[in-house]
Amino acid sequence: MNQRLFEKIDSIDIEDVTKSYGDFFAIKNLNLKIKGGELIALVGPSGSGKTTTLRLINKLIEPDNGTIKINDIDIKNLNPVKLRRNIGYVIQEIGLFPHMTVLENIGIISKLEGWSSDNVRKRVDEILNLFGLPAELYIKRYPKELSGGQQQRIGLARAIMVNPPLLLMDEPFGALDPILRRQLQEEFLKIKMELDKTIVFVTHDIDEAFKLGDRVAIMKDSQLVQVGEPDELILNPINKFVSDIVGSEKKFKHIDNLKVKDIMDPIESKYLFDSKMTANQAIQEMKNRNIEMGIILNKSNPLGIILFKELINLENKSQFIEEIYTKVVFLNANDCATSALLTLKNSNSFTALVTEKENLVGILLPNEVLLKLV
Amino acid sequence: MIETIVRVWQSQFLFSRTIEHLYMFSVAMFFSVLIGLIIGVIIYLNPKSANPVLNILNATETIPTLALLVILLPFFGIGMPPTIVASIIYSILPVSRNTYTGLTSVNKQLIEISRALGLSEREILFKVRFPMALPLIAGGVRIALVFTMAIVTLGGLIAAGGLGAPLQTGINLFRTDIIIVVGLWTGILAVILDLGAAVIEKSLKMRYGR
Repeated sequence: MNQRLFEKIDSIDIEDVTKSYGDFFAIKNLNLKIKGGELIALVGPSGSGKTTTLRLINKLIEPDNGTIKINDIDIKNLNPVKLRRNIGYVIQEIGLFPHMTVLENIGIISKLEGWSSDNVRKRVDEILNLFGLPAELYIKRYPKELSGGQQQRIGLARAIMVNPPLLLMDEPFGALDPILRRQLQEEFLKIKMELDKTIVFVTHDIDEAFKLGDRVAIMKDSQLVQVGEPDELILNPINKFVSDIVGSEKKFKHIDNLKVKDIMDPIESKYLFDSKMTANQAIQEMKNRNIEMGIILNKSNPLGIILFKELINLENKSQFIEEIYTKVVFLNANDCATSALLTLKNSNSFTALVTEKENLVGILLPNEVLLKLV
Repeated sequence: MIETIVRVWQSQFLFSRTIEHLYMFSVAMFFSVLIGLIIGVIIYLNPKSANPVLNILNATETIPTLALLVILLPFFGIGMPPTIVASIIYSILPVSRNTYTGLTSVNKQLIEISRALGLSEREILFKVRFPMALPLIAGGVRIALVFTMAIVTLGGLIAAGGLGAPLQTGINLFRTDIIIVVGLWTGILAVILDLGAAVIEKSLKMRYGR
């Protein structure tokens, strides 16, 4: 294996960086210090310079002015190919090579770095295991044979394959439907601890930023507006733009008056599964419907939820799903939102099913700002 | 009817004519694919040269086949050499144009992620662009195949041998039996080769298609 440019990130210092294309500024006087080991989320509307910032760090873009230092080394002097092999990169949607299998996709850089096939295979098994994907089921498949959620996981697996100390992620969950996105975020939060990497994460979803980020940087019009920990941004927004984006005023002023039905998501029929289905059938159906979570109904009574990830790892896939589902919190649509959120927070789960007069009406996936406020 | 076929087959030595025909065809195809690929890659690496080169190749394509054969006579004599050279000149364009288009039309996002992952431009060319261009290149080769088949047959006019020769005999002697048997056989051969190429193209599309 080639030697590393850096084993660990101590700091990334972006100083006075400007990049323009003619009259258009892609980034203007950016000053940002990223600490080693943190996940910093860059948030802002499109065109605010988030992605440009990412691409400056791995030299896909060279700045007109200013310097970027990683561990006090000016990256201007580093070979871009070598630098990028020390940095994992994940993007939204088509990031996988359609002509390569999952194994080839994940292993591409390790192969170029001269790993033996055995070592590649071992590491791929290890990573897929981390994501709860059985390796033998997946490594020979092509990307088009995978669902959106699975493709995104493989993209992430590829980024961490050679264990780079720095990870750049450009809206990695942006193309997924809301419930699946929530699931991948949960999953990512769990493995983030094990990864122990410095991560720069671009998103336009403030909830995602608050959920995943240790610190959040708000950007607008190619400039950095405010950077800080989530609480800091919610409690002390520097201007109206920030307070609008974190929603500290408009959404939560009247939180005491909100009911569960005001903050839940309505149920779509594609999420409903009959309790008499076998695990195998449910897996197939989830693939068809491109979802990774389902709500189990016995006649019209909701029982609980099933997760794709758990079904696929089952020993006995011919069991009925009513024997294996996950229990969740049930809430009434007319419950007070604050107490409902507290119940959820205390039970340490991230989903609740909402009923009204015994009928299933919605699902509650509380967003992070709300959880922080109660 | 079978009698006629057997008679023509034997009197016109169609077996050895077919071998000759396929020999010219293979040599011409080998070189046109090789040269076509090389030109395609070269103009990809020097984008400014792409338009002029493709225009020149386009221009050669407009020379009538018969005229091209005649132009080549003073340089290559008569027989197989000018026939093979003419086939190559005609077939380079579809191969190099499709190679060039295939290499340049790979999805920009995939190229970007390749760079971001730390692939060098060379590695991107061989590991990403080239494999993804294969279906299109195969399409170009298939067009070349049809051109080559036609010109090799025309080679009969300038004593190149192959299946064009007995066809020429049939025309000169006004022997419809020879014309029909040889014509059909040449046609069947072309269809079989094209089918083979189509199967390859299709499997490449399945494997590398986007």
